[in-house]
Amino acid sequence: METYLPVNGSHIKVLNVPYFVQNDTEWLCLVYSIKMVMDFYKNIHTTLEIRQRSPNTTRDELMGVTRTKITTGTPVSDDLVQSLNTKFPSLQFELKETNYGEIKKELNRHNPVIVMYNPTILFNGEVGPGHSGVVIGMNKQLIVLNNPWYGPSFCVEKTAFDEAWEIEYNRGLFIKPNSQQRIDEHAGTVA
Amino acid sequence: MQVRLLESPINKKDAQKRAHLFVREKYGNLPSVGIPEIQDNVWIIPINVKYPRVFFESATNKPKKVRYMNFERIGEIKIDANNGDIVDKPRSWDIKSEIKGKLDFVQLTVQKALVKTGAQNFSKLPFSEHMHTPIEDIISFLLLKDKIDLETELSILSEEEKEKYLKNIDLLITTGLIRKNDNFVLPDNAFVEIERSSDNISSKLSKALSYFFAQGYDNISSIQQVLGPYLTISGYIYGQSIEYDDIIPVEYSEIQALIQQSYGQSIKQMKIPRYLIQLNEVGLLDQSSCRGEDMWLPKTDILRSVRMEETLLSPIRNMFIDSTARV
Repeated sequence: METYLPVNGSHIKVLNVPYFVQNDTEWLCLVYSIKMVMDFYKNIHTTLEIRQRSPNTTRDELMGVTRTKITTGTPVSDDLVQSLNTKFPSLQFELKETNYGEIKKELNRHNPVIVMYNPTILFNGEVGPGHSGVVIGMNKQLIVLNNPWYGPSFCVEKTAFDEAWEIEYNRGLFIKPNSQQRIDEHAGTVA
Repeated sequence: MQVRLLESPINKKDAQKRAHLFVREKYGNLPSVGIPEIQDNVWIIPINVKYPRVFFESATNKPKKVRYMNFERIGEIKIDANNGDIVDKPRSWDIKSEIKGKLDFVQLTVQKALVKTGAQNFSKLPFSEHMHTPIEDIISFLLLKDKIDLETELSILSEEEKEKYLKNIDLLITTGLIRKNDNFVLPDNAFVEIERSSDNISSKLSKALSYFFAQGYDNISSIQQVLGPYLTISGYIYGQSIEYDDIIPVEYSEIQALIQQSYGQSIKQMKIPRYLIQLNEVGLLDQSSCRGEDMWLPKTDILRSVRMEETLLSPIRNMFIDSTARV
């Protein structure tokens, strides 16, 4: 479930999160990021119970649940989180302003985290479109992302990433396996 | 009902955050917000778009280069500085159409420059393969019959058809190919010069069309009627290379998607190979191969000339952000 990524003579521990690439004109970064995390729980996670409970989903299904349009992307709000939580009760979705410490904690628990940032800042120093990627590992200096555009295991200096992330108000989408109790509660509510 | 998220009065930073979260919630992740300005106690926050184009290397399917097209102030959000209420905002639909309008404008500008530069090449496309258009009818008629008596010739047409021919006659007049004298349409100076050449009649038609393309490029919608999918395909392929500031090979499947999107007719799909071969034959496209896949790319000499069309391309030049964003 984990591996060590060699970077500049040292190694960073990263989660083996599957990777999906988005096309040039598809604004599906968040959809692909969610799919990467969900596929990780479904197919890669070493805990059998988590794999069995995790739903199998498709890109198209996720586009519907997240009300994503190929031309403008995904509207990000509490409605998005509510919709995901309702559709996939075996997982718990939470959107919030966060920090490296919280993300690191989740990585240690084998939970990849989606971050929303502004990549134009990284490359051109200007504000551009919002973008999402899955954090699969980090150390003191670097953050490692499965980035639907720029490739798998995409390493960025934290000092550079800070500004790109701050523009999007340091938002992160946390996706964690839900406890059985919560799933049962949800099933009871729905029934 | 509007929920108040911020305490009043709100400062510039709060206004920008409020607008940013609103944009992300309502318009998706493509647009972003600019710097707020205050006017009569209302924060005005521009909505900008940096439209990314990622060029993937075909061999590895990994991104090679990212370029951004800059569409500024496609809308504004207005926020009451006293209580944080959003008092005015574009509809999601407005934002989408603004973006589409800008993208179309880029494509049309490239098409104009290509038609102007490649006029001669376009005119060599096999005559019978041109789309049906009054432009060719009018030129052919004059080549064979010397003049058109509008009263007689157009009287047999429906009102709609008649209107179409008259519009095209006016367009040809603006290029100096033909002129009108009362009810007659006659060759003008440029046409006479073309007629004087010792070419055969179909070459004269090609020359007249070439002249029309080179002079009438600004009226791109009329030229689109003449060149149809030939211009759609070549314009797209040249557009890609201009947007990315590089020579970009285009895959066959991408051209299929383009034709489906532009025409939505399955019959056109069958014709794509012929269009490509003919565009190659007249020297507008080159062919290459990557991993056994056919790729299509612009001719370097024509691309160079298109890029030099400074006056034509200047309205879109400032939309392209320098391609320093290599990954």
